[in-house]
Amino acid sequence: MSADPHSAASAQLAHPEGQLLGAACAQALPIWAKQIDTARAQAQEAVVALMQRFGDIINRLDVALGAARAQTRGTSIAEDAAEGQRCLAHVVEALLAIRSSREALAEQIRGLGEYADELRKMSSDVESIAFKTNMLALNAAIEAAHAGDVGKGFAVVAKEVRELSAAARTTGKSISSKVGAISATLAQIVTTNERVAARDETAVRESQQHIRSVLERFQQRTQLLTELAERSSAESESIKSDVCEALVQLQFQDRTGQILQQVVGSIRQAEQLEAAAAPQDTSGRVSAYLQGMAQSYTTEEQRQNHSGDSTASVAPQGVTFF
Amino acid sequence: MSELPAVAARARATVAEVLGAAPAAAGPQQYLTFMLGGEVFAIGILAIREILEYIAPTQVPMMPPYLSGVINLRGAVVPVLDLAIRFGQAACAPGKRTCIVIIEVAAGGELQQLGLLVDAVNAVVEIAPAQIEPPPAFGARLRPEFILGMGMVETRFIVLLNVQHLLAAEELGQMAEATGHES
Repeated sequence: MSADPHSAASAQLAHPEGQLLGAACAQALPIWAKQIDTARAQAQEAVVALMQRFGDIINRLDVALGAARAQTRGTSIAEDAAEGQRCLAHVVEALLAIRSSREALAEQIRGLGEYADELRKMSSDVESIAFKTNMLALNAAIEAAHAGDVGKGFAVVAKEVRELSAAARTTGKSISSKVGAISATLAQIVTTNERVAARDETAVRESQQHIRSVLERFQQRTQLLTELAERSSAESESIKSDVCEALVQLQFQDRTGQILQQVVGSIRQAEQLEAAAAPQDTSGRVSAYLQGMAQSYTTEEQRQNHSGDSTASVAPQGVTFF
Repeated sequence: MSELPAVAARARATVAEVLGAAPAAAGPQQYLTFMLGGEVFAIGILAIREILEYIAPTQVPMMPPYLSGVINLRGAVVPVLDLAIRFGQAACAPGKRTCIVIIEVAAGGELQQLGLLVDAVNAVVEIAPAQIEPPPAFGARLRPEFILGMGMVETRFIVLLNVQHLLAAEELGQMAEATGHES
């Protein structure tokens, strides 16, 4: 930094044999040092920004993975589907219960119908008794007529009995017609009930099938979704690990930064060496300088480069980057 | 039991009275009305012995078609006449209310019991002689000798049958022989 043309000119004068190179170096060294420093700073800045980006990417991947895991675990879609199936089973059960109670009702109505049949038979019995009573009354009237005047009182009784039998017949007939109406109504109820029951059963069966097929499709979709989610989550995981590795690789910046810093330091020392120029003991001072340089190395590559082993690769020595 | 023959004798006397020229001074007579082929007929009650519920008569060979067969009435064999056939209609189809009316007709100085198949018996009605018109001279569907007269009952005329002429005298005589009438 403190390189000025005067000192360069005096160095030129002190060593006429390496005049040109020395002069050029003296002029260029501070510039080189600045350039290298700039390059190093820019690289560092870029790498740090890059690392920050990668770090962000990893964080975002983590968030996404966490969300995906939450989705596939806990209250998953598959569980919802299973719950739907359970609800369907409940609905079907309720409908079956309704059907069985309807059947019980139909059975009771059929029982009533049997009573109606009995009633009809009883009313026809009433009519038959009325018929027989009428016959009896008529025969009594005939006997009374044959008895002449003696039978007159008996004839009156016979007439009364006949009228009673007529009344009984009328009653029997009206019972018959009412019972007939009741039977017809009951039969109609049974028919209607059966028709409604059949319709209900069809409806239940159809809705059962529909709901089941919807649930099946839903489950298939869910399966597909779950697989997709798992695949994408696996993919994200691998991307994350790749990015992590890249992040580790990016830490070469540390090493290059250290190497470049050391080079810049050495260049500055070389400038001071020139500035404190004393013609005597040149070789001693150069070797002291080189020795100081060697001591300031922090990496194996620097040492190797210094000693002349031109090897580009870094020997695996368990260097840990952070 | 000793009174029964006396009652029977009186009954027969009354029958003879009815069958003969009815005395004009006589009060209202009783008639049994019955249904046959949808029409109402009547028979003088004194000619009737009794009414039976329908029982299927026993078929007898060589009987004319208007005789359905015979029935056993307390040990006596009684021929049953299908009035519908006798009146030129289709044979009587026995139903729930079909009855057999047992009548007594004079046959060769004796009384012959005869069953009449009718669709249903209705009632015993009283008809005064004044309310009985002579049978129509023409237009009647029945043979005139079957009809005793037209009785007025509640504003409508009922055919009063002359049971004595339902069967010809010789037929009755044959029947009396065939059925081994108690004599």
